[in-house]
Amino acid sequence: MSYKILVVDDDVDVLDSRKIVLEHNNYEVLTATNIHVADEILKREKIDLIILDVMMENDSDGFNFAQQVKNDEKFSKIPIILATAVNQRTKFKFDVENDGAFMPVEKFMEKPIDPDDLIVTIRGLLK
Amino acid sequence: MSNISEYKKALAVLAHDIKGPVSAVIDLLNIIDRGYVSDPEKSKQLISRAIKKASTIIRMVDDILDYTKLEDKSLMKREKLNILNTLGESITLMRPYAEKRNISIEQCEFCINEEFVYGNHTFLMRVFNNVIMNAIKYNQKDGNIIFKSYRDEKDENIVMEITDTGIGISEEEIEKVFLIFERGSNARRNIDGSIGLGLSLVKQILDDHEGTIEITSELNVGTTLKITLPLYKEGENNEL
Repeated sequence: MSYKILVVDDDVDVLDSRKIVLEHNNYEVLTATNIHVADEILKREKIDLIILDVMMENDSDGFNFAQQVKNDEKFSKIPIILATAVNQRTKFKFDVENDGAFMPVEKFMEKPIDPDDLIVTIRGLLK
Repeated sequence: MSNISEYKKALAVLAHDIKGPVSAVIDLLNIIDRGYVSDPEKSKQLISRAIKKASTIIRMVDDILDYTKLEDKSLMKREKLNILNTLGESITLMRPYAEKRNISIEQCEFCINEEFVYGNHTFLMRVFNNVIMNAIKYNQKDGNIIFKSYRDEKDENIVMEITDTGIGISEEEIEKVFLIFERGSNARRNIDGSIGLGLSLVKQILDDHEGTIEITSELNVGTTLKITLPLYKEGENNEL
């Protein structure tokens, strides 16, 4: 049985790129362009991992959705990879060690996400 | 921009907004480069999408360059200009984009008339291009764009209205759309690489022409932008 991954991003080019990479690695992929659709999918399907963009309709949609997932005991065990566009140079780089308290996700990855790194990270989280 | 901290904030927003589409271009090309796609037709489609995305980045950079040019008023040489003709030129230029998105853009019957203002053709074209492009981008599927023009009651200004049948802007967001780097939350749904400079650029150019812009909008019904410019008066001092 293949793992089911939910990818949430408001850029369809990013969604399609992730879908190609993940399907190539035999994951089943569901996509959502906003957190409302993501929420519906989450309640309907059995999701094994979420890849989540930070800024969508609102600048903090990704954060809010991650917190919502982690605060719901039905979904709190689902690993989340938070894809961020901010980086070290802006001094706003996120990491699990320092930001895990207010943002309890399993991994922060900086965009653009290398497809091979993404697969290695997912394999690690779904072990 | 009034001070260094505002300038730095703007640069940070700018960097973030540009990084999004650049990352998407890299994502699209990476999957071809790493051999995730074997079908040549599919690769071709992805390359086209990467090119399209990259061209939105160019538009962002153009907006930034235009915005910085506005600081230098010497670049804005003004002349007696038939503004309805300029609007017509912009409509002709934008029509293919509208047709591509299945948006019907009406023929501007009044654009063959003459109404003169004292303005800069390049910058005022930019005003109309930005406004019409917004009306296209944020329109509903199979939507319309209509134009209207008239003189104000005092017969001192020319008024041009551009109305779309788009996603609209909420009342609280109308106040913010002219601020640098702001976009309505509905606008985010039609992701297009907009950097939120478009309407602040429009407002700045109109301010420099002693003109105004007003927005009336209803969510999911449409938006009307009303642009007002002073009419050219022969013999009066129209110099900057």
